Amino acid sequence: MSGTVAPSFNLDAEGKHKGYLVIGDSTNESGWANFHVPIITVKNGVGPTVLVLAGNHGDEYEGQFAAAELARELLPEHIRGRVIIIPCLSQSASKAGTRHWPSGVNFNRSFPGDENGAVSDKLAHFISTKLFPAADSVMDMHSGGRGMYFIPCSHMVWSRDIAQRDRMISNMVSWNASHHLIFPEQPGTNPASLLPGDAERQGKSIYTTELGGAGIATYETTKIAKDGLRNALAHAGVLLTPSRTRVELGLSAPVFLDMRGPKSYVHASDSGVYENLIPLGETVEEGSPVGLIHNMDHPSAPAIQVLAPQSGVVGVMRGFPRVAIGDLVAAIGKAYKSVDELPE
Amino acid sequence: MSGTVSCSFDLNSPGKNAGYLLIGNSTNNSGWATHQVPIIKITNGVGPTMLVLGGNHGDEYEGQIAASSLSRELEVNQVRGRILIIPCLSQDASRAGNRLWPNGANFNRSFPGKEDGALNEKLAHYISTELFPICDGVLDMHSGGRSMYFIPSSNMVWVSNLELRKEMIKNMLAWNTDVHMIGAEQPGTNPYSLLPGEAVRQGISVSTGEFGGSGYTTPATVKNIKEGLANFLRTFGVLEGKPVTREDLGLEPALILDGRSPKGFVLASKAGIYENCVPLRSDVQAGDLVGKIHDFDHPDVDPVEVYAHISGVINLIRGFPPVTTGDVVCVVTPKFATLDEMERVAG
Repeated sequence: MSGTVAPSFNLDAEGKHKGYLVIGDSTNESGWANFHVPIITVKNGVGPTVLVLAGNHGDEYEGQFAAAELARELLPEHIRGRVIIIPCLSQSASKAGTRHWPSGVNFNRSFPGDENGAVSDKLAHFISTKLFPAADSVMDMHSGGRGMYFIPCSHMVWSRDIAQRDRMISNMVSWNASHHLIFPEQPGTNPASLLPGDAERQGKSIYTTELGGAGIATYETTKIAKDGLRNALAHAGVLLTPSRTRVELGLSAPVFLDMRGPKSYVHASDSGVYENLIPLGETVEEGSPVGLIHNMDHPSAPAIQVLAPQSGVVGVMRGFPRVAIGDLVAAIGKAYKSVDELPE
Repeated sequence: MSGTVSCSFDLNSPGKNAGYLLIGNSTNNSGWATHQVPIIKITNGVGPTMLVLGGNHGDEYEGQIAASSLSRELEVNQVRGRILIIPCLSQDASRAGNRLWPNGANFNRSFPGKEDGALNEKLAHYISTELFPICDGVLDMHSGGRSMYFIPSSNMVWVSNLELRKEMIKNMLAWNTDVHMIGAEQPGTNPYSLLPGEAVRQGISVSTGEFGGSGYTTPATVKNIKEGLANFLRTFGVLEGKPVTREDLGLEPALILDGRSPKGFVLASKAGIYENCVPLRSDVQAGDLVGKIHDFDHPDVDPVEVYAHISGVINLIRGFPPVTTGDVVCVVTPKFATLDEMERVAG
């Protein structure tokens, strides 16, 4: 239960409704204020409930465009069941073009939230205690943010629970991206503090994506978000149109990149200006350079080579070129044609 | 002469030197400080002097990477004349990932500078009074910055000085990029406050480019600028080796875009989150939809549609999606049918 967040309408009502999650707020500029997070519901009879979320990180826009378009275009007659859409979770961060909220909070580390915490904690608590329990599926659309550029992909965290894992593989593939990335749980991070982690803990069917990056959204990446979202909604059984595979659409078979090992992740060894050397989707050999760190205070000093810890395909490159020691500059995964080929 | 900026080595000496432009500075954290801007000089015998500049805007990194790589790799015996390289003019802005300096100054609006002004003005004054006068050519490498993403291209402003215009066309073509763009002087801006504008005012052969954007670089954009830079320097006669043309390389003729009409600029009509609705480099007709401005406070309300004013090629898309009224979200540029057509117009 949440006593500090209230929807402005009944989320269980039949038909299409729009309004806000209204969160008690108090700022220097505005006492007794309400923080508004737009929410749209579309319901038609009995069927699954799918929660569509975007703008978890403010500077990742493809999902926000796709969710906002869905919110405008989706009608009850298109579906069976219910779709709940929050086009932009991190409103202030999206407006500012930042990953984090103005308070410095990473919304995707705010779960399961706190009913009496900061606005971000209250929102996470409401989602965790009211929306997740009502949902069968949860879709959380990301796109790298300013620091990273992903090959546009859907992805999953490799679950130990075989039934959950199989469901997530099927969900991941339904996005019809050219690449699917398979991750471990994030090191040094409580997995349940992430939005999809908390949803998974509650046994929900999860769909997650990284649709580009560097804070820009192009026509091409936005189209992958919009097309993928529609197909995933069909796959989740809520949209009445049939779900289709890449092969049925005449597209190449997808590539699966295994990024579960720690050697997949390449971090900056120094601060400076990072130069990406390997294009996204291309292969790099273990021990060969994936990037260079230029010292712009001493440009005559040799650029520092950043080497690939393992052979594989580059699935993530650096967005914002200025790096500090420890920043992620690349992620490399061994490529597989089928997820069945992946080692345990 | 500048009494507030000095170089840590003799720019007129032979051979290769790496050092700094030293600018008197005083900050809250450091009194009597010296702001240091790295500069590299490679001189070999008689020939032209070329000034290679990166990081005029801090968040445009292709030029910074290309210039710093060049400064390390160039050996004295490869040079014919003199190459001066400042890999990053706007050091603090580059560090912060910003277009502007921490004091809010746009370095590319700081010319001709001021000897006793702010740091950026002192640096601009030194460049316009000490460096430009000893140069035959000035190269200023840009790449859109966080807010804009260009088709990577060499470009030029359509200057009224006919002789200089012809030289600048030659410079532009020497980059062998897939696209070249001819621009007008920027509206509402003193053209001589820009670094290349001041160089043009001094009658110096200028080369400029926009080699990407949105504050990140890819292997493709960096390769493009590095190869173009080497061929440009060869064409100018300051680097050993025979320059090549796109034809020599087996490439189809470059697309030449005429960006001189102010109608090509598409501006945001309201504040919101801008969605690019057309791919970079696609063809559009006047009146076509190019983007949508979303109001995420009211996502159920139809976004405001933004249209092209003229027909042409999408030469620039929006990088940073949050926009405010008047922000450039797109530039549409008609194409010249052929290089000959452009040169006929050049007169």
